[in-house]
Amino acid sequence: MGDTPAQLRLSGQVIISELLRNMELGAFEMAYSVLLPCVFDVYLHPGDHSRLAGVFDLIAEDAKRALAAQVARLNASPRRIPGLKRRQAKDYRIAAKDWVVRFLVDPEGSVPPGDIEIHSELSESVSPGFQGTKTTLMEREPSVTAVHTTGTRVDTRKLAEPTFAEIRYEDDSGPQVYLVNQNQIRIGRGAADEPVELALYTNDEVSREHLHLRRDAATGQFYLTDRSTNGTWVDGSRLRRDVEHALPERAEIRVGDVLTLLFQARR
Amino acid sequence: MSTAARWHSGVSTDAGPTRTNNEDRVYADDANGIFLVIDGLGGHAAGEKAAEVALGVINRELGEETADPERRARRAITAANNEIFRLAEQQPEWRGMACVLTLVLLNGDRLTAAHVGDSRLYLLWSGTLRKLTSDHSPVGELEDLGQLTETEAMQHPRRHEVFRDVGSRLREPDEPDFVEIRSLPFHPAAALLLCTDGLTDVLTATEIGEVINAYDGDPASVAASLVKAANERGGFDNVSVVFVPGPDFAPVPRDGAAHARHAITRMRPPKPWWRTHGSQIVWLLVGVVLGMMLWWVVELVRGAGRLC
Repeated sequence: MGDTPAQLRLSGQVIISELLRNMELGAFEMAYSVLLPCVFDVYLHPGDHSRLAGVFDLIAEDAKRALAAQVARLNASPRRIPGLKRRQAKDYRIAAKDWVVRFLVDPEGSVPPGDIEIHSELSESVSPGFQGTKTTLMEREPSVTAVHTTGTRVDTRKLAEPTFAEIRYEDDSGPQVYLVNQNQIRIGRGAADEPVELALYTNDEVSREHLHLRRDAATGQFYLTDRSTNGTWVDGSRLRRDVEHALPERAEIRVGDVLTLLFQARR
Repeated sequence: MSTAARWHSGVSTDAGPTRTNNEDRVYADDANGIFLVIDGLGGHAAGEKAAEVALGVINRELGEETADPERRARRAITAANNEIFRLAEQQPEWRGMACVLTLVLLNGDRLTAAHVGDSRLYLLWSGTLRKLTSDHSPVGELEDLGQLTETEAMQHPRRHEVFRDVGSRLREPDEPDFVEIRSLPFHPAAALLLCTDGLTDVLTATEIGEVINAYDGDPASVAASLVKAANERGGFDNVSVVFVPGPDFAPVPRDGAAHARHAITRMRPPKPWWRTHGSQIVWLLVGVVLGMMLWWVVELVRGAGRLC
């Protein structure tokens, strides 16, 4: 890392090493073998994407060699310590015949220049090869703490979808939490010809599109507009219909006379 | 009770691409608003037997009772449970048989759901699918707590373990950790989907929603499409669904903006060396200290020997 401008410049080495890391993170362990992802979608900042557009095939070719070499390394017989019993090593493999590495422009604007985001799949199908098997009966009472999963995936998922706010409410289907990760949210009962993002399961006292929540992407400020027949109240005061109101970081939004949304902005 | 069908449901069940026997049972009584999916547990013919017994007993019990829906459901499932247990005690080949099930009673605009195990009830409303039952399984609990994503839960090695079932021991109707009951209004524009885990192990909620949103007025074709979609994924389990659209249910066209992504990782700074090699260094230090202590003890013993 000699030259400073290289800090923001995406290098081929970084792409390859991240692909390798992603492959190992996405490993799907089974009884006798470990399935590794073989389809990689690499999302790049539009600037990086256009800069590298001419050489994607070459990067992909190099990446495939590196991935294949890594699998060979993983499959190489593990170093044995005399006298120490080792479990039989599992076979690392991929579900398809060859690797697929695609380079795409990040559609959500969440990948900064010089950064990459990789999405991988275990097989060429639309979703990973889930395989249902027979339900088995546990002999004991539940102990949730005994089940662990890799923390990395959960972390990366949170990173991938920034949550701007949280809306807690209880409709006819019980208590719900809605995480706001878009800048425009329509809230109401919804209908086939009036889709909403947050569909409240309730009676027709609530309008099909009852209110509209908007987030100013530049400032992070939220605004609320009432679009209903039966009215919307924020912290006790009724909103004027079709007029946008700035929303405090924390607010109690009364929807008609039916239910209450507890709004909490996240920093 | 009126004899005219109040509801118009669609059912479908299939052994799946790899199994020869179907241990699932489905039941839909459109006239009386009774809908049921059962998934049998146990080796060989036992799972099938358990599901069959549950279906028969629940049917009989629900017909006889006139109490409120919650009581009816609790009593019927408990009767099925105790009958399965009794039979399993008698026949060695049925030992340990049990089942999991989800039962829905629709009474006017009221929905009562009774549930044991990891079959599921979904409510479809304005294009969104929400799970009304909580799985009685360790993986399902983690998913409900938000500690596992749906995809992680589907891939989890222990996803087929359940800690509640119908039939493995004698039960009382009001036992707290047995039948889970939910009661809520059923709005005319909503739809219900009851399914066994053969469906939800291979299709995500989004994918299930997409199939239902292709609804063209024929509930049976929605049920058949769901089972077909699950089979095309090549699952190892039986698949069963009951689809019950409300009288005003209409599918919502799919939002084009949503796109499925899986196994997300992001670039992060490399881990510091002590995070990756920390435990190795600790063990090395422990080894060195142990070696020194051993040497010291040996020297001490030798010294003592020389003195004698």
